Amino acid sequence: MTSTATVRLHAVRKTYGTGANTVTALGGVSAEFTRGSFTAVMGASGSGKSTLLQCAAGLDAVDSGQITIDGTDLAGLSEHARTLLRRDRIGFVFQAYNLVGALTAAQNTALPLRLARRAPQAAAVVQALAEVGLAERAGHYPAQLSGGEQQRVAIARALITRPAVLFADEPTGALDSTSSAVVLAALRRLVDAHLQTVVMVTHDPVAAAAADRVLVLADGRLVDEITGADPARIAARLARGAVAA
Amino acid sequence: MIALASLRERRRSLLGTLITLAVAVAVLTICGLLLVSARPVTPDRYAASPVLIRPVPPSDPEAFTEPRPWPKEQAAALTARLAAVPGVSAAVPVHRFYAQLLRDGAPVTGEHEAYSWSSAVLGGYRLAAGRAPAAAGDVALGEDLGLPPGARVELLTAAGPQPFTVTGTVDGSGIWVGDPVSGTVGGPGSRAGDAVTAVSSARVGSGGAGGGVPVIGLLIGADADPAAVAVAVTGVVGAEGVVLTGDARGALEPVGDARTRWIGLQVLSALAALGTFVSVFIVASTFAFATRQRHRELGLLRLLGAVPRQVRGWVLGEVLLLGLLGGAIGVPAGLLAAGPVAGWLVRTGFEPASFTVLYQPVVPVAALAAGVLVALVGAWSAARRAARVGPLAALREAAVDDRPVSRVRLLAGAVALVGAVAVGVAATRASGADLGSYALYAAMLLVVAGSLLAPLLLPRAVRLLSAPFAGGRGATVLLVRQHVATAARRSASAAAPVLLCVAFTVLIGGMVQTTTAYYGLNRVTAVDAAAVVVPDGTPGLSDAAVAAAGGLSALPTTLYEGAEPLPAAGVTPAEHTVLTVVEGDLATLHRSPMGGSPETTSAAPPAVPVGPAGSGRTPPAGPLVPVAVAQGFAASAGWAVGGRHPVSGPDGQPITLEVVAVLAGGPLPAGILLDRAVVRAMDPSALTSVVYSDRPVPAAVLAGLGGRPLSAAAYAGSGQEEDDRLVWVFTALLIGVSAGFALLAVVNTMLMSTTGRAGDLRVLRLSGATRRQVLGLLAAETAAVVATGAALGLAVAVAALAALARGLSVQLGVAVPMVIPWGTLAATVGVCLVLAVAAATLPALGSRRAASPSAGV
Repeated sequence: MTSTATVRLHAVRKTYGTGANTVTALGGVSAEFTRGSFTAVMGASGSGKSTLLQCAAGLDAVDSGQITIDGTDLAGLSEHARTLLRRDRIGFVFQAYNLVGALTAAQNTALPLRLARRAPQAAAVVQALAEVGLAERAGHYPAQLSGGEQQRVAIARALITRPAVLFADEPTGALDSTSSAVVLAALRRLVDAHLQTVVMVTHDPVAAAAADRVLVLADGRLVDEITGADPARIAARLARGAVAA
Repeated sequence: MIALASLRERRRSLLGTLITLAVAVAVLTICGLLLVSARPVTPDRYAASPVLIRPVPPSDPEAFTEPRPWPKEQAAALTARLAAVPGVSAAVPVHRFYAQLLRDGAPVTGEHEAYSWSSAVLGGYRLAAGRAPAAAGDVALGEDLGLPPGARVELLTAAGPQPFTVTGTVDGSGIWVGDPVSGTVGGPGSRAGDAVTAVSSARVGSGGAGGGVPVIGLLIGADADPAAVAVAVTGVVGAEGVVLTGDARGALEPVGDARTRWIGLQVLSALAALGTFVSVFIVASTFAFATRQRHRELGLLRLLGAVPRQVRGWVLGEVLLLGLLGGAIGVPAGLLAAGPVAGWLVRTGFEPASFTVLYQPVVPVAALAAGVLVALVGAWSAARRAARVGPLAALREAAVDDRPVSRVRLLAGAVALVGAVAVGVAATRASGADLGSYALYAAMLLVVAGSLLAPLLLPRAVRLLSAPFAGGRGATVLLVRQHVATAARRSASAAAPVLLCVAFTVLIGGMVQTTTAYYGLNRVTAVDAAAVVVPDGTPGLSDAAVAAAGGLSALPTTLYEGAEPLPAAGVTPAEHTVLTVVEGDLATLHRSPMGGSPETTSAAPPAVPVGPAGSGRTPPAGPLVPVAVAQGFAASAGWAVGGRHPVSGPDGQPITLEVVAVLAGGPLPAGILLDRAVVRAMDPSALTSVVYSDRPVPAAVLAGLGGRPLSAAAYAGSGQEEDDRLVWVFTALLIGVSAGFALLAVVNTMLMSTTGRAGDLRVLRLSGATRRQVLGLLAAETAAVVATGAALGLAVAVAALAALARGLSVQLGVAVPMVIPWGTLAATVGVCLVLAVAAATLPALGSRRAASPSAGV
């Protein structure tokens, strides 16, 4: 089975617990994320959206189904190999606790290269920071940056290895609307200018509207797919889905 | 880069670890320097003699006994042979006896022995004024005593005070009298004018009792090569003695100095061992703590592609830097402190006066390496745990310790516990000095076991302790219980140093009190005495002092079986009342065929020492001496009533002991008892340690005799004062060092804990807790942890003390009660509590972020 998708999930199942306490987090999810696509994954709390992201990124093992990233099947990989795959092919951005407090913005950005024992090129680091509009803040420590700026440093860091896919888990969850807008614009620009594949988990319709496509999860299943919608329509579709469910 | 940056970021929380490591390295530097420096020093009195010969020493250097001296005939023959060696310009046999200058009726401390004048050349001493001592009653004194030629002085000898006239002063320290033999070379010469013999045999009244010869010193010609002479001399001496040159001449230091050095060695080794152990422990708990606090950060790094090996490398790299930094501070501090500490050890009595610090470069290097090693060992398990942190940890709050006790930890804790029990059981069978060490090792293992298993024990203990308060409506008890239970490992890290502190202070304090209690008990019950006379400014009591005190006493001496010493004591018939005969009869004990004269029958003593104890059928060598032996000694040596055993006397002359009685156990002055007059005849320098009197002794009768009366109660209480004083200083030192380290750790852990919980506290404030309630909660939680740590520490100490008491009981057949030092316990727990609560609440008090609900992220 061949596919051009950067990330491909096929019939992925994931349950937690045993016996009567079994919770089905993902009940057979299939999805494809093609190169240069910007996808938002939405759903109520407990719908399985974070689990989807963690499984897709190889952070969590699946019970059944298949996940391939950039043509590599995660199932056959050891923990060490998955670590290397994460380092080289996957970028991450999270709600908070994204940066290492002891390192400057530039050092945080260069971290994945250092972890891979590749000498970070100063120009590349500056360029990555410039792409998120933070070139002049390179020498600042996280504590000296605003929440939005920290999040943009995290994006710059995710880009430094030129990953196949960028996973973002509630990247605007802890930010005010102004900062959110800047962060979302930065993500959008990556997709448009560099054909970066982005998968973003969010519960915010405004954030989801920045994506090309919205996947809606409920009880571990894909229940809806919305393309090219604005926040109001997304919110309405979500509300309808919630009623239907 | 990451290790360095992380160190900078967390410098405040790592300050405690850094201080710990620096102090540990300083302690190791000091102990190392002093241990390396603690080597015997050639006495000044032999400094001018490049080659010295002494008899073969006992095989056990910790016996602290002079080697069996050469009998005078053997010494004379050996001296003659040595004098004939090419390059040797003079061979000087050394004669000496106990003598102390009396000044205003008080013994002058320092010099305890008078030497034959001919031996002054071995130290390169010359007369500064007057003439050399020659006749009986002549004495030459060191200039430092300030007595001019012609002065009339009294010397306290083993017999008692004797009048002397100062004939000359010498450019050195010492007491010299006329020679027992005319000339320094050749066979036994005239005994006329034999001052040493005259003085030493004043009581015995017979010639030839000048004791054996302990040393023969050689002077060599200006053109002779000392090394070549030493080789030639070694051939001449053969098996009769040991040739000493260069630094090896330090072996001739006084036995007392060797013993003092040995005690110092024990103190320094214990300090170094304790310092190392406590440092490893503190580094381990600090880093375990830090690793837990950095859970999310480590998860983030894993998420970004760090492999576990890299994470482990950072933690170890960080601790390596910390160890090097600690060494960079600790080594210079230790080098600076070594001199003053050495001076203090000399003043305290842990090192002889001749002790000086040798600054060997290997010591700081080794201390630095040890510091780094300590840090790495301490952080090893934390590094392993850090490497196991998964990438998902970055996405989770880790408020609940998933598995409070890992299987490895449980296993290690169980192994330590089993080890502690094994060592504790071994302790009950260990002998004397080893007993304390075993108890200490058992406690160390228990401390490790307790700390490893604390996460398991702590929540249960806190639940138990807080159960009486659980019914209340307040939130504090609930929160304390829940916090300790859910963050079991964090609480365990905080409780561990308290456990360590309480365990060691209570153990060390209790150990000393238990043993002291035993010895006190032993002394009081052993002798039904009204008064006790002890030496005052002298190494022992002279016969005159013993006569003045008028009680029971024993005269200790040393017999030799080959080169091996056999402690023995001379007793009078009066002593029989306190002896219990198991077998045989004491009637013949004082019927010595030696009479008043210990003159041997053999003209030429054997060149090789008399062989091991015979079966009793071998023909007796030397005069036959009846002895009574202790049951224990008889059993271990295989001696029985009627047995005859050829040995050497304290003067090196052969005698044959005939066992006439075996005595029951209990406190005996020595394993072998013989007639007091026989001891005096053989050992003119023997001194009595203590006299037990059945009536009060007025201090006046002992005036000018170097003795002091004590009531029996005072004696039992004070014990052997000098030894006890040393033991107490030793104890205080060990407690101080271990408690100091542990308190450092308590403060450090609490500071880290509160700083790391800023978020938690903020949530509490947001939930409506007042500032006072938050501080109260912190204080209550800290108190609960300290109380639990203290309870576990007490349990450890009590277990180790029980093993010690059991060991003492088994060893001596008397039930020894275990003493728990409640005062020390209360003080330790109090200090821990105050410091811990202060360290836990102060950061919250000072930091708005922690105590104010309005603080944002």
